[in-house]
Amino acid sequence: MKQLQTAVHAALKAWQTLDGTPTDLLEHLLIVQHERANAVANAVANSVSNSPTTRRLMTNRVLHQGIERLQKQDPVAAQLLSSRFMDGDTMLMAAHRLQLSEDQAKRRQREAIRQLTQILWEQETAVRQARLQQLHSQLPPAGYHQLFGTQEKVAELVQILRNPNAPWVIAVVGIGGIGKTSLADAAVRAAIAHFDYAQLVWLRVLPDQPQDVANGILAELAAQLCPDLPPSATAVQRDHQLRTTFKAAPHLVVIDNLETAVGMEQLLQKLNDFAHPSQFLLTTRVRLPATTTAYNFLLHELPPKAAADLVRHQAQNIGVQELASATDADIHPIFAVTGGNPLAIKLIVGLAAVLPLPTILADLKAAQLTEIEQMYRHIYWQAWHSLSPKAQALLEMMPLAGDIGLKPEQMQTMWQLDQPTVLAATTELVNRSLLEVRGTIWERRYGIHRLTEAFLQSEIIHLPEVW
Amino acid sequence: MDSELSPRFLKALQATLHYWLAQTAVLDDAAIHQLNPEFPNLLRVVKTGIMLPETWRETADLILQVFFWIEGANHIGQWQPVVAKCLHHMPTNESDHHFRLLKQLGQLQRLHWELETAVNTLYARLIRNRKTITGTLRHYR
Repeated sequence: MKQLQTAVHAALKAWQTLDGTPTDLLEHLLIVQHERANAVANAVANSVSNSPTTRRLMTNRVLHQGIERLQKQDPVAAQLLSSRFMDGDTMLMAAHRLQLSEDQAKRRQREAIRQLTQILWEQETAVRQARLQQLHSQLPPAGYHQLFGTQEKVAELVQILRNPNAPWVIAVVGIGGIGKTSLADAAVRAAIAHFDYAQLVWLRVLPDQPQDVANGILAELAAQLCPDLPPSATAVQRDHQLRTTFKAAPHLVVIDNLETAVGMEQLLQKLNDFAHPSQFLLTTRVRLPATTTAYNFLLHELPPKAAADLVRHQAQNIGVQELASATDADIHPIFAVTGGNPLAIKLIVGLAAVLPLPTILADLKAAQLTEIEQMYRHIYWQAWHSLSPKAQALLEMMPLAGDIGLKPEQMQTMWQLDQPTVLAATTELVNRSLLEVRGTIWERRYGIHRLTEAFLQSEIIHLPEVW
Repeated sequence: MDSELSPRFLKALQATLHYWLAQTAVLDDAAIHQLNPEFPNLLRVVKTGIMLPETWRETADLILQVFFWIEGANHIGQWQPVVAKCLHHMPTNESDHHFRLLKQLGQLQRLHWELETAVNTLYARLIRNRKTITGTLRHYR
């Protein structure tokens, strides 16, 4: 607040100037940025440009509105500021006009600037809250309650995102179920709270999207960011428009689940061309080729301590008390089998609610699984066999849910299930980490992880072909 | 894959298609506005339904029925490959659906300004339907 007060004073002193510094233009304030954005948006109609003079005018407008508010609270303070900075009166002249001594006027001016700063800060806080809410609405619901063992990784990724120089294209790389999306989500939530970005876009690449993923992503970006682009626009025109948008203001674009290597290089080339000041954050299982200009942010399995914390947390959530209070040493066999893969850990804890833990672990060890996919397949089979018939039936239907998930009442209507059945089955599946809770607290939806879906499609449903 | 498709899943898919057919029976502006957030769910069901011979026909009916939703909410880019794929997986005895799907595909291509492709699609439709001109005229209207 002290810093802002100094900046507000500097801005008032610069009232009569035609340009200014970022500080005396109060450029870091969203209320000033909004005023400017509105002016630029109306530029054609009102012959206003984004010149230094316009920028000063917009800052003065914000200050003037603040002083008008101050007028209602403390008319003398408002008149003093107007006289001193807008009219350019000396302190002595202003003091005479308000029938104050010069010393009294100086003290009143300090107090008036403090009051004005408070008014501007209240406005700024309200705008920031609304802005943050709007940015959060662009994010998909977080698929986690708490992150384990990745706090440092989140901080590191935020630092990379906020680096004013580079990198501009960052890929979070890791195996399935490792928590790439959760990490990206947590980092983005932290990064947007600094208001560095004008816009946020979160795209999720679906496994059943068409072959030309790169083109699909560019088309989706254009649909979201360039609404005025005519349908007749060619790919070249579209990309030009996107480039202009990304260059004009810093955007953060998250492309989640970019699993295909097809067209990757071409897409990365485009993203690099669009980048700076905009940034692109990808999540992928595929490490990006060294030939591309992108930063590989590698995400590894959880370390033993974090894995143990996750086991206890998950066990506590679903009421497996013995595991919730187990020591790190007791939990270590789970870590040894899963290698610290978070999804695998959660599935095993879910299984431990219905099967003895030694049996689950012995079974996994006996299978001598070398690949992560084999391990998942095995764990999923164990989980499947331990489900109630109702839960099995509901889970089998879940590949029919899109990425946003289904509401319980939709499940009831679609599949002619009664409410108690849906409630019991969803509770069982959520506790077993086989169903993900999506949506908001006002509108709960349920979906499944990609690995769960892949298991169901290939092992249970036997879909002849997946698009 | 040699294993047989799960009957329980097939039944659920058919029930889901019925649900969507009922939900989209009347598509005025208000209905489209209300249904639009559910588009990802519709897309998933349709993409699954067209891959299976058992559900192809109902899925094609649904595709044809939701055209105004797709057009009105501008899902054309995502929908066009769906209609093309539906045609690709069409059983041999579905000429009536074939004509209508070709017509919709042509309309989607035209809306996407793929004019030359749209003309070719319409031409393919006319060729296909040359033996039943009255059918063509009826559907073209």
